[in-house]
Order: sequence, then C-alpha cells, then structure tokens
Amino acid sequence: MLLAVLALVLAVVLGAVGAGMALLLRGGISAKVEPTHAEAVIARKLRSLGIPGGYRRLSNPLSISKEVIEAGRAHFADHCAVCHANDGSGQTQMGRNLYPRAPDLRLAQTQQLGDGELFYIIENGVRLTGMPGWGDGTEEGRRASWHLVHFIRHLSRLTPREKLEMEQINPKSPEEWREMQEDQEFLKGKEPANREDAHHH
Amino acid sequence: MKTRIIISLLGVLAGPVGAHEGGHDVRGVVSAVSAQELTVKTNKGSERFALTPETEFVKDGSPATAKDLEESDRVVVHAKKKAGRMEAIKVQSATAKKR
Repeated sequence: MLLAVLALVLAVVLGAVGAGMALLLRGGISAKVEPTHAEAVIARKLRSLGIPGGYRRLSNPLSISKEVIEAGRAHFADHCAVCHANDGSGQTQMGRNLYPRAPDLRLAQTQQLGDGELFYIIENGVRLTGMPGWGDGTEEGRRASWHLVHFIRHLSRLTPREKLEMEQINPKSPEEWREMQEDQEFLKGKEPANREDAHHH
Repeated sequence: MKTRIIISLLGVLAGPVGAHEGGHDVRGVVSAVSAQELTVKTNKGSERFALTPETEFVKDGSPATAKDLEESDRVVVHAKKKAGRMEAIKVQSATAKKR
C-alpha cells in the first residue's frame, strides 16, 4: 500500500516536472509566446476557484449614474488603461506583451463574471499575471473599485467623446506632455518644430 | 500613495497609453484627402497616409471623421507602418483660418 502511494506521488511529481520542462522548452521564460489553450482554460478555472464564494454572489452596491460612470472612467484612464487601453481592448504596448495578455474586457469572458468577481479581482489582483491588487482597505478605495465595475460594464458603449476625455487623463511622460503641448500649439497656428518620430519602448 | 507610486512606475516603463511602438508622427497641412488616403505637406516634403476604419479623427478638439478633413487644415498625424504602407492611427486637425 505504502509503495503504491509513493509510486503515485512520484508519478505526480514527475508529471509536474515534465510539464514544466515542456513549457520551458516551448518558450523558455519568454512572455512573447501565446499561452496554450489548455493553460488558459486551467488558469481561468483556478482564478474562478480562487474567488471566495461570498464575492460571487455580490451585486454592485452603488446605483449606476452619470457621476458613477464618470468617476469610474477617470479612474480607469489613470490607473488601468496603461495595460487595458481606454476602450478595454487590451491593445496597448503593455497589454499586448504581458503573459497572459491583458484580456479584452468587453468580451464575454470578462462581462460574464459577476459584479463581486470583478470587484474581487480589482481589489486583490490575480497571481502570476500582470494584474495587481489595487485594494487599500479603505471605504474610499472600495467605492472606487465599485465605480470601476460599473465602468467595465459600460466599455462596449464607450463614445469617441469619452475616449478623447480619457486620453487627456492617461499618464504621460514629461516628453509626451511636451509633444502634446507642441501639437496643440501647432494646431492653433504656431509654426512647426519638426515632429520627431515616436520610439516608445 | 502606494497606488500612485506603482502607477507612476508603470507610466515610466510603458510610456504613454496608446503609444505606438516605432510610430511615425508628423505635423503639416492637408494637401489632399479621400476616404482612403490623406496627403500631408510638411516642411520636409509630402507624405501619404492610409486611412482605415480604425483611424481616430479629432478636429478642433472634438471627435470627427475623415469627411471633416479639408485641404489646408493643419494636422498632426500619428501613424505606423503596416503591410508596407503608413497607416494613420490618429489624425488631429484644426480648421484652417480664413484669410
């Protein structure tokens, strides 16, 4: 009996080591390779299991309003868009190169999550992904996360005007601020300084 | 505070949101425009940009479309080389001043 248990443990360990080796041989530690379908399914399942049951049943305690959406939108532009993009598509330099990639928040895989699940992920992050836990334990922080939950639901209806407003809030380097200022001055009639090509990394 | 530090760090590492890797940006004046293509006269010559359904247009600070672009408008074009051509990602413009 003991021998059988040891053999089983050994088989599991060898299997895990083999799977790890296969992953390393496939792409080393590079984040450039696409996660396999199986890896993505397992990761999503583990994430789902990792969210406490109480959160799955939670509904957003804040009523939706113009002000709530505006607050969520400003917060998203300042904190989330660097990876998720203003429209939630994940099409940013950061989002495209994370492992796993930043998901398109407008799609069913995110939209089908419950309010409480979204809230939990915002507050606690997801291990071994680029998603940090933003919760700071304050009531103000929790309200901001609930604002974000409402805004994530709103993403598929984002208007060009809203997107433009978000672009004004997105974090920028001093160089980008200078370029933006020069662009605006040029558009207002100032003679142009040559526009240098962007080489953002 | 901690949140702000993390975000600042992300901003520094990532550059601006929507930054286009290896992009090509120009300032100039519209010399020709159609639904598919925009030609811009710059102080270095003339450049052509393909317009796509994904191209974002802003005119006088408001969301716009390719139809709102007119000859002599000042433009700032953010573009990226794709499939052997320069595709406009974002076109900001201002109505040309009447003389």
